[in-house]
Amino acid sequence: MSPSQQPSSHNPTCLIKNRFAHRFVRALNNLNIKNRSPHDENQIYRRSHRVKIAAYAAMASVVGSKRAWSRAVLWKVRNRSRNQGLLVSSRRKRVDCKSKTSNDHHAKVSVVRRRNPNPKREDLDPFRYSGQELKLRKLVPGAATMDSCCLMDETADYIKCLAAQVEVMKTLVDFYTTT
Amino acid sequence: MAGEDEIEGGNRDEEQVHFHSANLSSDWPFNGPNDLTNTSMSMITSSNPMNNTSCSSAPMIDSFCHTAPTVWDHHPTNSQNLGAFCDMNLQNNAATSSSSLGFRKGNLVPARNLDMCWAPANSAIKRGGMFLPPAASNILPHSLSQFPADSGFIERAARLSSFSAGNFEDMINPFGSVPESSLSPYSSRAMQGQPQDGFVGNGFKSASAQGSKDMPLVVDCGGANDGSQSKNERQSESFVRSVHEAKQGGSGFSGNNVASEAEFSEGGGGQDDNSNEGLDSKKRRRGDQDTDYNQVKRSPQTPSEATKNNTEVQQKGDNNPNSVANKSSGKHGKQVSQSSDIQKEEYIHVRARRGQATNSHSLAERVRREKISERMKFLQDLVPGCSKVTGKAVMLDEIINYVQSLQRQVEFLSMKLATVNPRMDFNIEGLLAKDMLESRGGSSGTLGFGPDMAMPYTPNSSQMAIMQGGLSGLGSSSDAVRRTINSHLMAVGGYKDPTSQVPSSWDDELHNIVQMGLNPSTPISSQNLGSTPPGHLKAEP
Repeated sequence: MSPSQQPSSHNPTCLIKNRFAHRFVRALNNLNIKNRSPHDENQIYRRSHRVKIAAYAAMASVVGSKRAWSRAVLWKVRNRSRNQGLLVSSRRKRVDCKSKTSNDHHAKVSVVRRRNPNPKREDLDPFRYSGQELKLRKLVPGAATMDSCCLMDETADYIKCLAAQVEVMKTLVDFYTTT
Repeated sequence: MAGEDEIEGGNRDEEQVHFHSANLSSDWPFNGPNDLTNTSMSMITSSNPMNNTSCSSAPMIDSFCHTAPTVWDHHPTNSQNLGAFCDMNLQNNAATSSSSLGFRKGNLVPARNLDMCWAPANSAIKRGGMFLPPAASNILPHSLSQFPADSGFIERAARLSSFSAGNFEDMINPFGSVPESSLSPYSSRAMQGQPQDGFVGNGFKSASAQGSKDMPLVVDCGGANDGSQSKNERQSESFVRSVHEAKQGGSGFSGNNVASEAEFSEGGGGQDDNSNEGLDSKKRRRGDQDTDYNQVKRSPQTPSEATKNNTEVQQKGDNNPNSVANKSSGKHGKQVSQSSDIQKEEYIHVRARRGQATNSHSLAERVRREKISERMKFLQDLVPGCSKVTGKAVMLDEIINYVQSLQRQVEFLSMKLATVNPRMDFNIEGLLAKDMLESRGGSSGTLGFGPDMAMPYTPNSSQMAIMQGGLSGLGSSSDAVRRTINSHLMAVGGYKDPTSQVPSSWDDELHNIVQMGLNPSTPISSQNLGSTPPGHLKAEP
């Protein structure tokens, strides 16, 4: 959004795409090394989940901590990987879901804590309690704590990055499927 | 107004110069106490930038401290008298700071504060009161003959009123600011109620009879000399009432008139007290002049809300470069004016048009809404198919749909990648290595994929076709995989509609990327690929 980070020219998105592709391919490679051939449906689901998380994490790490949404994603991924490090040793699937929910719980608690100091500001928000903005807040990571100005900002950036991510992933998929 | 304020600043500087010259030239024994007041002044001024909201109180105290010592310096009194008054000045500083804080909280608080702070001051004045300067004693009595013959009080009243009146004159009347050597006429004028004439002569004729009523009342209160407590209480009451009257009058008059009236009446209320209220009202006047007078019309009527409004105006005055720059004097003012110049660009266009609310809250709200709509426009450009939509709700819907569709696409693609990957370990490693090589070579080429990739990304091909092609390409995937992907495809088909009208833009972009990365004929990619080993493309499967 801000011109220093992403001027609307062609190049920065290309750069982001490039970096994202590098990171994502590396992450995919790591995943492939870990477990080779999924045949079970469940395994495939878990694997795709991991791929998705890897994609989000790669994009967030490319963007860095400049943006609120990338910060939120990175935070989530870090906590998740910490919990998963424990869980991978125990090798249980169900607890995986549990840890995710507990992560979400932590996130909500922190959100509440952060929202408290400036409550008046958000009372003034005209969009605040409209359903659409709430929806958007749920969609954009880390958007629960922003005021609506920031929300629009972050949404714009997030959309840009997400579109780039989708493109790169599409190219990857097509590359893999066609060969 | 700017010219007036410049002149005013010049006057302040002049006063300061006078003050210093008095300190330097005259080797009177009261230099010590003067230095004491000076240090206290600097302490207060230095502590003022800390609290930004009370930045408005800084020039108050500043100007008070600037004028007050000059008043005492130029009087041909002896050292004891001056020592007493310097004590009083210290007390006054305390009183001004406390009362200026109190005025923000509520109107009734300052009465107590002033009581506490002023009782010792009065005693000090009475102690020094027997050294009455002949000029003051000459001028005072003929209009104040009804006052008790306590010379201490008379002198105190003269001095104190001279503070406020002198400040007033300096503030408002740039031409009437005679040097401080003639300050006893000031005090006499203040005692006789002649500052009214000064105001009127300066174009403040709109100061209605209420203000002029207030002033004799207060002078009489001071004249009663029945201790400082009742006087201060009544003064604060009159201050409240004058604020009331200002508000009520605001509905009828224009903002400038009302502000000046408020100022005048407040000055009358606080005339015997200190110059704090007068300066406070000065701020109000400027704030009101800078904003529309609608604010006065809409301003609340209860005193507590009136004080709230007052603080709002002060905050606005902080935002407003003119008032801040003019209020603050000397070196202190430069920093503030610089910082306010930065804020100027933000706030100068925020001015309310006719009929719009001019609360600082609603102004800020308007600014915020403008920001939001600006960003919405940006998002509109970003989200395809959103450009023709009018209305924020629909736009938000579009944005939400787009984000959702993108997220679903990511999910779907990750699913695909999860099924597709395993058979391509070697290729991925090779690709990664080559990508790393390219990135270390500093090239910005995209991915170095095989040339066959360009095929599905012709801009005409629809998403569904790509996806189904990808699905059919999964030769070795089991039926389970196919089922999951099919279910995902259903989900994808749901969101495809809003995006299908759009994506020509990103298809174009993709096309460009693919071309850049893959066509060796384009100069950029030829550069990029030039850094890679020549067998790279052939090595690609």
